[in-house]
Amino acid sequence: MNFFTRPYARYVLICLLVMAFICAGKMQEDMNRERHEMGLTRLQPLENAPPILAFTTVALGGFRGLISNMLWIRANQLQEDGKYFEMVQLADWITKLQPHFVSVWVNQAWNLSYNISVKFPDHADRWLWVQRGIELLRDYGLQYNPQETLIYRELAWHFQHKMGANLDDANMLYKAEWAEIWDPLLEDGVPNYALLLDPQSPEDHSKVKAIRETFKMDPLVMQQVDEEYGPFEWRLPEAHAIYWAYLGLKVSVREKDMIQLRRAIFQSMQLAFMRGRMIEFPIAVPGEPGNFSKAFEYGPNLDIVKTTNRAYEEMKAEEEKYFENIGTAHKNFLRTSIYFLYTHNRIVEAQKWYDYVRETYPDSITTSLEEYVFARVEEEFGSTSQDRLKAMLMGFLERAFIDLAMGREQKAMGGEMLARKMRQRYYDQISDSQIVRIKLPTTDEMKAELLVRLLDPEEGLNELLANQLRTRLQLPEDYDPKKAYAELIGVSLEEGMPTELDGPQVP
Amino acid sequence: MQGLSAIVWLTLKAAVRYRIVVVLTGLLLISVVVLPLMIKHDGSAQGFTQILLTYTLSTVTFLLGFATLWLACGSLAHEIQESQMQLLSVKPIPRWRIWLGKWFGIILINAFFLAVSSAAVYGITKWRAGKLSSEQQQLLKNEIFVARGSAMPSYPNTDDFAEKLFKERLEENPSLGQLDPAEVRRQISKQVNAMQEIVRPGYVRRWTIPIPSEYIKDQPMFLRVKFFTSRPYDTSTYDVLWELGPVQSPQRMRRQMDISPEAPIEFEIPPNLLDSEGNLIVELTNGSQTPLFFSLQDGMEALYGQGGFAWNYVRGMVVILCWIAFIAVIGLAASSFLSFPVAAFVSISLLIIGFSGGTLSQVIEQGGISGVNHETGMKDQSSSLDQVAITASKAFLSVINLVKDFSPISFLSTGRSVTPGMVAQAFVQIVMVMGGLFAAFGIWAFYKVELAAAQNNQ
Repeated sequence: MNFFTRPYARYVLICLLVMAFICAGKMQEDMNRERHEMGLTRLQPLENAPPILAFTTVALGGFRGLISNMLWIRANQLQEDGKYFEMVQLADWITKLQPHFVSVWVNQAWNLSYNISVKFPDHADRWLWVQRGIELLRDYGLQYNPQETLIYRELAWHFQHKMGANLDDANMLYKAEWAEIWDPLLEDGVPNYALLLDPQSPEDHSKVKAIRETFKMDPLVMQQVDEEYGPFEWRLPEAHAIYWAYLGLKVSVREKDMIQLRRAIFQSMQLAFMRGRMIEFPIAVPGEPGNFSKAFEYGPNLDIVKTTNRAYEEMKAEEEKYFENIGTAHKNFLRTSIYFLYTHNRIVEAQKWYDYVRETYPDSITTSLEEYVFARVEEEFGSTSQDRLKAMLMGFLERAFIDLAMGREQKAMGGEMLARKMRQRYYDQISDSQIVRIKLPTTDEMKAELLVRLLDPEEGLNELLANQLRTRLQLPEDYDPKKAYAELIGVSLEEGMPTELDGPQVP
Repeated sequence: MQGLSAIVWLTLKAAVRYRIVVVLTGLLLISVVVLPLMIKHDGSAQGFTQILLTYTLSTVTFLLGFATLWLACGSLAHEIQESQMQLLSVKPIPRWRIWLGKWFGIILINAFFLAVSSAAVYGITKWRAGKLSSEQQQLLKNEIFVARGSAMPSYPNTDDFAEKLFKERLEENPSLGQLDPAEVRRQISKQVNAMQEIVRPGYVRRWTIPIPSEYIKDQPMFLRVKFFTSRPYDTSTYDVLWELGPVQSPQRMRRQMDISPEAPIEFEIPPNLLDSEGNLIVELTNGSQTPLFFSLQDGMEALYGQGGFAWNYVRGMVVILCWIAFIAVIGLAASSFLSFPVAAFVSISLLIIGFSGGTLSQVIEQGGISGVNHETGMKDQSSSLDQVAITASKAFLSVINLVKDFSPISFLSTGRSVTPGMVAQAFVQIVMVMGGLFAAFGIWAFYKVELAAAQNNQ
């Protein structure tokens, strides 16, 4: 009887087999480590992947690239034919076949959000694709590559540029839809951190769950962002751009790309400064689904000058290589801040930052505060930037109202006349085809909008000034600024009252 | 006939014996039920329905095609190999009947599976659609659950004008006579066509699209347009104004859009916009600063409801069945004279060649098989080898296209009409012509094969 026919032989063989597996596993670990040390492979173990994906990526081995190429070809072909309905699935497969290839994530997300979305003339259809692009990066790209700077940067860019900027004709719809999604999770646009960090009621728990599971965000990090750079209006995309860039700076490991995240932060902060306050009218235009052109308006968030300045200072200190570049951006921001603060009648603050600029960048402003602002008005007179111009016009009109309330009618009239002229000049400069995309409210609409705020008993002018303004404007006793504004822009009060959503308050 | 039906019955029994019925049932069940739960889509009801139809029907077609090939190769080759065929061949049934009986048996099995699985896909799709809002259901009804016909603009014949222009140019510049007249005519003809294709900045172009008016009363239509600019891979958008309907009509539709080039754009247009002659008048004002190019071939197309989805779906399934019948012919033809593994290999290779039509088209487009000029994407000068490759590719392609020129799944998922004419054409081209050729070869080979020599010695 030889060994293999003995009854205990199978148990011995099983033991040997198990030992062989253990040894092989041990050797594999050593081999992987040495391969990594010697730079022989770029493959990293796939983390957080579902079992099917983990199995597929291992089982296919080198054929993954081949299959991925075939899927790319199919995706390109379908795209040329205008058949987009498979693109989300193909992007999912392509990225998961090469889950550590950052460019693939970035490229596929860009394709969904930028290339495919614009193929749809209907803006609501575009929004679906922008969401899919964001989801691909946020829900999957970061899941498998939680330390990849470029994915954070790309995600921030989607919020900052695709949704935040006005280069896409559908940008207002994107902002409106995003605001609508986030509104129930916030209190007047601001997170209630006390409840989000220590939820008490089922409603609080569901809010936290949505923020964590749907949007993959952490309320604690949101709070840190607000404390460090804010306070922000979280229904606007800029706050989210800053969140993802901030998170990227905290967790990513690719030092050389971090400047891109820093840029995303300070560029988004500039945007938030110029139009980071939101005035919402949550009513769709009847019979025109998707038309939100009058659904909300922006105002400048002048409260974040201090935090934005601090962010610039920190980034200058941290990025010695880009010291000059960041310094230039910092200088430009401060110059703009002075001008905005002045035109919004916050002279004391304007003077404070003027002094700061003179001290920090002595060559930046060589004239007096007022001379600088007037020169800037002349410069801005030719500006065709919608957001900047609106912020400026609102500033002039606000000053005009305050002047009027204080009995300085001539100055008030001059301010209003200047605002009207500047608005007219803006319209003279843009083409007819741009009017829908970058239109401005009428001067009367802006005035009505301002009155809502200025005549608010709690947050507006003091009682005396408010009454004087009412008298000089010859407003009837029962004048309701909110109602008047709603009537002016054609919004039905029965359907919903336009409310100014408090962003950070003007001190 | 009795002999034929007996062979069909034997084939059905063999399929059950091979357990292919059980395996196929399981796989089809997974593809029809589980697949819709796993696929990702763009988030719209249309997108989901389109991808559901495309992926489930494609999977069903693939599974049935693969199983058909396996069964066709296996049933005949195994029976020859294992000497069962000798028992049949001594019966008073001619071999062509045995061969055809196998084929009909396989088609019957597939017809059954296709009917069941496609009915399940139809049911699931409709069931899911029924759970959507009424607005979304209406969208699906207009765009996907419909058989939409297609109408192209009527362009004036420019041949006479081009010929007149050719003569005028020849008179103005007699040196043109030294050039190849055919080439000069071609160039002038292209210039004349370009006049109909380009919309310059600030200009308006009108298209007249004749629509068969019996179909479209009170029904919405769709305009499908595709344009290009001079910039390749252009992702910009261009402001245009569409005006549709009779010029004097108060119902004339006006819609401003920012549209993107290089891919088709489809949008709904209200019903009853035809003029008294049954034409849809389309006017486009180019409000951008860039000339826009709308090709005569596929630049502009009107889609209109032509019939219901159910019959369209059935016709689509018939085209798929034609494909499966053809695959069965290939498998049977190969296994008539080859052993099972070789027959399977040959059949799969033939299908792969069939699927490589894109490569053959590329050879023709690029003008050869060797390196191309990367600036132009074409060969500068074709060698004799290239010419041989081009001729062979054209020949292959014309044969392959007899089978491949049908896209029932794509048509169904985009709400396009699979017309009875298309089904008849598919049947003639795929089953009668191509299937007939392979069947004739297979039957001939089956007559020639020495059944006793093919015994399995093990």
